[in-house]
Amino acid sequence: MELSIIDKILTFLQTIFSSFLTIELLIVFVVIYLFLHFNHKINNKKIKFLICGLILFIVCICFFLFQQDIGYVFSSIVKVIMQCFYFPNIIFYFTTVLLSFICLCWTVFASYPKNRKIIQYILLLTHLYLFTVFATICYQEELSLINTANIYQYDSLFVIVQVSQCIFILFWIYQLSYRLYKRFHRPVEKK
Amino acid sequence: MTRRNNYKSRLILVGFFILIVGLAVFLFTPLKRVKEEVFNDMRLAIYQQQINQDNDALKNIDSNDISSISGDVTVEENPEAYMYVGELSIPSIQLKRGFVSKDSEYNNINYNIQIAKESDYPSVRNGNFILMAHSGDAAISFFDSLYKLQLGDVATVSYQAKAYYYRLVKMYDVEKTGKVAIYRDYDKRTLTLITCTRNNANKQSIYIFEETNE
Repeated sequence: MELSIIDKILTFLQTIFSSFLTIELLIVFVVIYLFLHFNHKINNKKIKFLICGLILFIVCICFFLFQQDIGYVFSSIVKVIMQCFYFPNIIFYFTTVLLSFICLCWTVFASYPKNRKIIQYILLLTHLYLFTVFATICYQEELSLINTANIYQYDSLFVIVQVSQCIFILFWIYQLSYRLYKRFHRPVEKK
Repeated sequence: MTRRNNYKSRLILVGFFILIVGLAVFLFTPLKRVKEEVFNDMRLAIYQQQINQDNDALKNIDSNDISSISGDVTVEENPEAYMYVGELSIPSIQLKRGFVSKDSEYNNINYNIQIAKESDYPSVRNGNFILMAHSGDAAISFFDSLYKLQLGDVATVSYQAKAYYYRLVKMYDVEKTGKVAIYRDYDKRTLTLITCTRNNANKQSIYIFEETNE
């Protein structure tokens, strides 16, 4: 851990050339980059598909060789996401609230259609309102927010955070759906 | 041309929707399993938190509020609440799971590792603490890795802020008849784990652990 910048660079280079596998991977990725770089000028569609196929092939091989480890990593990632949804720590929860606040300010000044604005106001204000309720209960119960177990031993706080997270996710699903709708929906031109 | 584009875009949306539904169906059980793990971790953390709070109260013997200090550290047992009163841990198979009190409505293999009615709590001298759970691929298969156990493996039960250490001494299978014969040393405190035998629907496996001081 206690490494100088020179040591870090040396360790980095040593790691890259430490085994045949790492050198092989490096060469593969350099070749892919070169293909993409030169194809940028030629703009050949076949090469684009070939590169995508090659990357997919490498990923599949990695999956096949290290399926147990990759499965474990995926499971850990999903677990962290679920923890963030069901039992977010205070920093994560506060970050979502901050995002909601920024989105609310953005919505106020943006020139969105009326319906979109109304839906966003409702979702974002509900999210912020729930946070204030959460903060009030924590203050009344004199809870230490550092330990998440301390927070979630209260069913009321668990439910509030849960609803809050659902609304936050609903807001982003709405955003995504709206953009997808706008992207794919073309009004039929009248003759 | 525009209508054709519209048709294409709708087709993409429908395809996207079908993909999402398909993924949801395919990932339902693994996700439920992870959700169970997340909730289990939080309940264990809450259980640990309560133990720590009680320990703090015991340490605070100079406090004026002596009435709140009791001799034993116990987690409040409320049958309606889904709260752990103890924890089973077997490091060799990475099992770490809490259990609720015998009277709790959640003391059921469909929710948890279940404490058998005939079981003693670990604090009982020379008692037999009997735990049961499903095995298999379901989200509630908490004993799905018990078949990996080997004689000599260590299990720890934490109950009322005290840890009890056990070592696996016996494993055997019996027919599923609704009754289980437990062969154990009555002069020792034991832990018995019961689950369905792997790849055999008609049998169940019994794992007998004896208390060890190591």
